[in-house]
Amino acid sequence: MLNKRAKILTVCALALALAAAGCAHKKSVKFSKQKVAPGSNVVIIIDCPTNIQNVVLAKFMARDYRVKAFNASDLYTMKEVFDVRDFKKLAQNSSLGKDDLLINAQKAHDNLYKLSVYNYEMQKAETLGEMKDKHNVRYLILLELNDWERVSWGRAIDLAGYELVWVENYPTRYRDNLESIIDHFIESLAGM
Amino acid sequence: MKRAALLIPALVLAALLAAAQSASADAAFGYLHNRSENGNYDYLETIFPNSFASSIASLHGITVLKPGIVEERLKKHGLALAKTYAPREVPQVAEKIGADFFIFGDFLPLPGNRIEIRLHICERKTREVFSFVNTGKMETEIFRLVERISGIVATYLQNDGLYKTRAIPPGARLALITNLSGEELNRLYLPFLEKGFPVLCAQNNDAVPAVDDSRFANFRYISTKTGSFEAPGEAAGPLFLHGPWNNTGFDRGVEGTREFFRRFDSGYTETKGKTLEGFSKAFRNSVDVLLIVGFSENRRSSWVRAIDMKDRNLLWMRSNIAPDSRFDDPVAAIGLKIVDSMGSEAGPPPAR
Repeated sequence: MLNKRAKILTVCALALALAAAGCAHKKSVKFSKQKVAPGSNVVIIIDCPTNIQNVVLAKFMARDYRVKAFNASDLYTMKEVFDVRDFKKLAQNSSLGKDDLLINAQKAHDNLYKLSVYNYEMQKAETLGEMKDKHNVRYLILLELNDWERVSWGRAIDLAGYELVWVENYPTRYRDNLESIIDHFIESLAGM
Repeated sequence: MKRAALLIPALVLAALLAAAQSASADAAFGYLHNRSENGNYDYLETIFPNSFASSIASLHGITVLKPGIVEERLKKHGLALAKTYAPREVPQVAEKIGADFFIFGDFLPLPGNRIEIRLHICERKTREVFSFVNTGKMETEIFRLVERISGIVATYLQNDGLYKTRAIPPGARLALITNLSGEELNRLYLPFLEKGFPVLCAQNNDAVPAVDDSRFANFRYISTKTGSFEAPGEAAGPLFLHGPWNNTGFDRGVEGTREFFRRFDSGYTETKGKTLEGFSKAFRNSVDVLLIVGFSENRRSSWVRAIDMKDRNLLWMRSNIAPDSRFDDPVAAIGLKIVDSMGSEAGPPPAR
């Protein structure tokens, strides 16, 4: 009888441990180096339909943040800048094609991919520099809002030093809605 | 009593097996080619590899084959140990020698009684080649130089491809590029931020990830002036033939292809150097270290490459970083492991 109980307990303990391991990545995460206080000039980037974006922006404006108009597509994704695969096709179709040349072309294209990542980051940093200098933007805030059982997250970048000053992962609760998540993030950002 | 009698030899055997396991894989040294035109230095072509081999074997407990023995092994295959090898030849030679690592290189005497030594380490199994450059004094510090380079080689062989030129102290401003995004990226950032490493806005300014996960593994391979880690070199350099059949259109095509290979293959290190210079300027020279961290698909293993943005040289390289526990969040655990090893020195730093 004891043996049976011990077995059940062991199975339960294992199941709990596995569940804990599975949930480890859903833990909340928060770091705040400085407060992003109401009154700050901010740009908010959020990947969701326009009507939801409007709700988010309105929430920030209602809390006295000076929200600057900015279209997230101004920071193009690399795929839209150019497609590395096009270069591959171009070179491999070259009349100079020999087996060795193709292997060399692969290496060159791998290098080209790495350079394109560096270049893309460089271009974004220049764009952020312009946002700061020309439009007097102080903080770039990124948000992603997710449903219950998933994690909503946010980040804030201080453009004065290009530095990440706030990060948060917020496991969305059952009773949360769009507005309550935004309220939570605003309070977290402002250090309330 | 009988049990004890059995237990003792079993323990001894286990200890011997464990010792054999921990003893590092063997390495074989080729020659170090004299890059100068001064033949007076030719004697160092064999002195250096023999000294490195002795030092690595005695100080670090690694089985090392000296060039003489390597020469004999190659003779059995009808080959001779050459002073220099083209990149495509190296994996084949390593295969014939049969050691886990084949090490060869060159040296160049510099003004001011200094000497630059460049070593290439080819792993037989993966066919990947790690190269690094180290500089030191010729006469007074030659033993220190040998010891230092031996230390770097031994660290690399014994610690999953670990190479580090200096510690990265808290406060160093990091531009971090990785194949994570969204909330996963935040979990990686947390240990860096909590331990006082400012993280700059490279990559984290995207709502939607722009990095192509399938291609990210290419960042494992890295080229800088003083250190590089290269993919197996199988191909010969591209040939550009010229002859009476040439016309302007053909020439233009050849020129375009040549320029492509010059920028992205043979001259990639220079091209990358210029790109990183632009990268640094775009961040208004605020980046101290460019840290590239690659995660496996299940996030349970990782590798790291770091570039010192002051001179754009390889600063740190390490593979096979894994969390200690299966129950930890692997991203956070690996992040913490990386942060905890930032401040440590890995062997003696190179002379500048």
